[in-house]
Amino acid sequence: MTIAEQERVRPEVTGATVLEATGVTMRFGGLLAVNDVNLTVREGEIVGLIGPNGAGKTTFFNCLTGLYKPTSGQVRFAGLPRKPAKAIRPKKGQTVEAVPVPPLEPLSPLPPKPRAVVRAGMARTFQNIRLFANMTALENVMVGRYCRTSAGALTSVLRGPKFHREEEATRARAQELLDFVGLGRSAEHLARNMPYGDQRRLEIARALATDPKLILLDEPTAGMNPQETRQASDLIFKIRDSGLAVVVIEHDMRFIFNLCDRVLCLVQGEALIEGTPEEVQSDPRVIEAYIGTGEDEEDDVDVQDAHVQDTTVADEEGRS
Amino acid sequence: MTHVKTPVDEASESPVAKPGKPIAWPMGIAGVALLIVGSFLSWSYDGQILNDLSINFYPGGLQILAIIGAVLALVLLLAEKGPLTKLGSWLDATLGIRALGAGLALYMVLVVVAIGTESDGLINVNPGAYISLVGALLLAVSGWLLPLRQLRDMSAARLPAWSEILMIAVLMAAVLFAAAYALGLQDAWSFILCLVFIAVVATALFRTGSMSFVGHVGQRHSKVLTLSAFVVAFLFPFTQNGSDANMSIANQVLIFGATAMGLNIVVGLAGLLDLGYIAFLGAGSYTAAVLSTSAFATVGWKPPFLVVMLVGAGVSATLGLIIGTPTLRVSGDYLAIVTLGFGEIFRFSMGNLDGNNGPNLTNGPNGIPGIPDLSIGGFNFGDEHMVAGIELGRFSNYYFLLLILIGFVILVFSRLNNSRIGRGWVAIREDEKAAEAMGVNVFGLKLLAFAVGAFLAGLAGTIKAHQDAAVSPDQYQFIESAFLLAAIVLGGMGTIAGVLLGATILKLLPEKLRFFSEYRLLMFGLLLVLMMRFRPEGLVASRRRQLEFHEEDEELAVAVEEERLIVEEAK
Repeated sequence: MTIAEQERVRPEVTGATVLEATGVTMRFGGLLAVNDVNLTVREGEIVGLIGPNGAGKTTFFNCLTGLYKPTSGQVRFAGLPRKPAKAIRPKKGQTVEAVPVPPLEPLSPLPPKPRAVVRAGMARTFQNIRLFANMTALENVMVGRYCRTSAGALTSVLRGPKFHREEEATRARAQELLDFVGLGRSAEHLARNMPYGDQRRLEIARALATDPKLILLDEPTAGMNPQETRQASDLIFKIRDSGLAVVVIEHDMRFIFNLCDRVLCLVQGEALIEGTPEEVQSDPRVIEAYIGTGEDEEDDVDVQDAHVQDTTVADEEGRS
Repeated sequence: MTHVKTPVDEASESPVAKPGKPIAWPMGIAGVALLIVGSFLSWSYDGQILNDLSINFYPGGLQILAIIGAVLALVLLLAEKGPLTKLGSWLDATLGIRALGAGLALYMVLVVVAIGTESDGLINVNPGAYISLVGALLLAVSGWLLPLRQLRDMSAARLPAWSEILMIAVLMAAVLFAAAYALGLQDAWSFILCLVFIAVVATALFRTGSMSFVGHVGQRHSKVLTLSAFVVAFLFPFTQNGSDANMSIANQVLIFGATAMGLNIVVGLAGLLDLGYIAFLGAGSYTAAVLSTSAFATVGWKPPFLVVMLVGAGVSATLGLIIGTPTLRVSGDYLAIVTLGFGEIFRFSMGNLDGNNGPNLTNGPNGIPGIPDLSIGGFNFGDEHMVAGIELGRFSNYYFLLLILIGFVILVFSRLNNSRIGRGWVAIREDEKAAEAMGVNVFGLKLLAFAVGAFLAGLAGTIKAHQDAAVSPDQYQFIESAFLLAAIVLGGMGTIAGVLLGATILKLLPEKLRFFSEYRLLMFGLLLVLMMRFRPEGLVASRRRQLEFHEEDEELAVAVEEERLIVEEAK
């Protein structure tokens, strides 16, 4: 990690709260996967979620997005107004915003249903890419527009002017988002034929197509080479700059500490520490959770040494 | 730059180069000549069988087919080497000749067998048949000796727009002529031989790649293609000279086809397995029956037929919603079992609502007979009409109505498929979890597929009740649902042409081949097993379905993608 990277200016985040999860607990039979985790995300903020394998990061994500119904605890979200925003076509020369920004609603509890969550304005990607493999890139993103469009069966059969307008707008918006993530030229490629890194970006474009206020990325750089990782972090900054809040699960420590405004570390289902990357980075408990206590070793491990080891281990992990 | 031929070069250019190569072409020509000469001679001593093949220099129908095949082979041979080489740079003539040669040989063998079985043994086969057989065999051998060649990409082939449209028209006219001719054949052997011939020619055309050209042309002029297909279908009754035999079969095919298209929405688009679909057709039929003016109808209300259609379709769609709401939470095999159960419940209910066990609505097992012919706006469907000197009977009237119905069903199918709803269905088929996480209303879309499918089947049912003039519970057995599903699987899930083809095959063959009805189920079972093994995506494959069935096939995926890009460019 270079000094320059470390000293990247972190804008002070003072936006309104988008997501507030309090006391989220998820129990599978006897297994306590997530125990009393709190998370607050504000507008325009990038929050990192780290922790060793099996710490419950993805389970926590699933609780947030309604795939699981948490055993207890509440997820409150300041979503978009229920009525779908009209797709705005940018004029030529105008820079493309990821998402048009309507004002937020006050915080309200999210029902544990994926569709309601998406409609409210929270979108996600998956750890193991789940694209619609036999659809083209453009079609994948157009599916993402599903919840913001309304043409029903009758409209689709009769094909009035509204249908054509909406279809045209959907297509234009999908193409716009592909351009945004840098896949504008691959619109007609089948998702399953695309390179791995492009599939990750396509998944992000598909999530952006739902006009979210908050986007949850589950290991967006898993399996990427350093160059692709850099592109991914540029993309995430670009998404943040267009006014979205981002929550990222990641194992690549350099990536996450470089990227995030705040980091939450989960260990065995419990929140170990939440704070700025610097705080989390230097916390001995985080290091302990990742590489063990060092009790077996002869010498007492110097915290600073351990930190260096930690990042190397994490780097290796990120690349594998 | 001079090109030096090396052995390696030669091998790569013609992978099947064989020592006999120089004689391959003359051998093919000789084969064609023998085929034609043989066909002009007498094939059979017995003039009573197979529409008389016994007169020299007066070829009967089957002999004319052989001559057509031979002429086609001649064209391909000339494309290989001769005046038509320009055509040969596009067409894969070698593969075509191989298919045609082998197919015509099979055809001739079957002819000999047919003559042998229809009269008393092979003694009745005249030399002409053997000469043609030898000709076909020579053609097949020459096809195997001819080298394979590098071809230009068919998707780049273009003709002037008018000639492409003309080609579609000619092709459609050929289809109409072939259908009228094949259906006009009375004896089973002639019909089978005619089908074999059609299959051989179709295979040969596919092998040459000309069908992929036709496919591209069809994509470029899809409206012309659809329109001409409907014109051909519209003209079909005029080829029958007032005979009801074939029109009655055609009507059954249309009803079956329309219902199968409805089921195609459920199975092919939404990806739900429904084994009780015939119940929705039955619901429409029964509704039309009880609201008809039949003496056995049990409801006093007699609305006009257009209202009956809507009510029948509405009843059917409501049943679809009722069965769908609780069951669509299960998927796959479980859904199939539940729907199968629903189909049986419907049949038993119709058999039991006879006044003993409940209200008398359906007359129980006797059903409702004596349903009068339709009368819409003073036009009675039972009357005969003379149009342009050709008599059109009762079945022809229903045929036209059913044609409108199937047009409507196809319209609904294709428009739903190419819309936001259709994309949602594909997404659900691909990955239900991901679709849900992207905000697709999974349950709602599945229910919609169920309801729309049921609605369309209900529409078909209301017409079926009047066409058949009677309804009874045993028309709606499980086996009918299974046949509907078989038509879709055989033809190609999610396609229009495929499902119509599948429906035609499954309904037409048993009607024309009565003697084979005992083995009907055996044959279809065998056919389905073979299809599942060798071509799971069906006869006419939807590109997307093909990809889904071949998850591992990277080459296919790349090929499909290239094809898409070309189509996009053409636009």
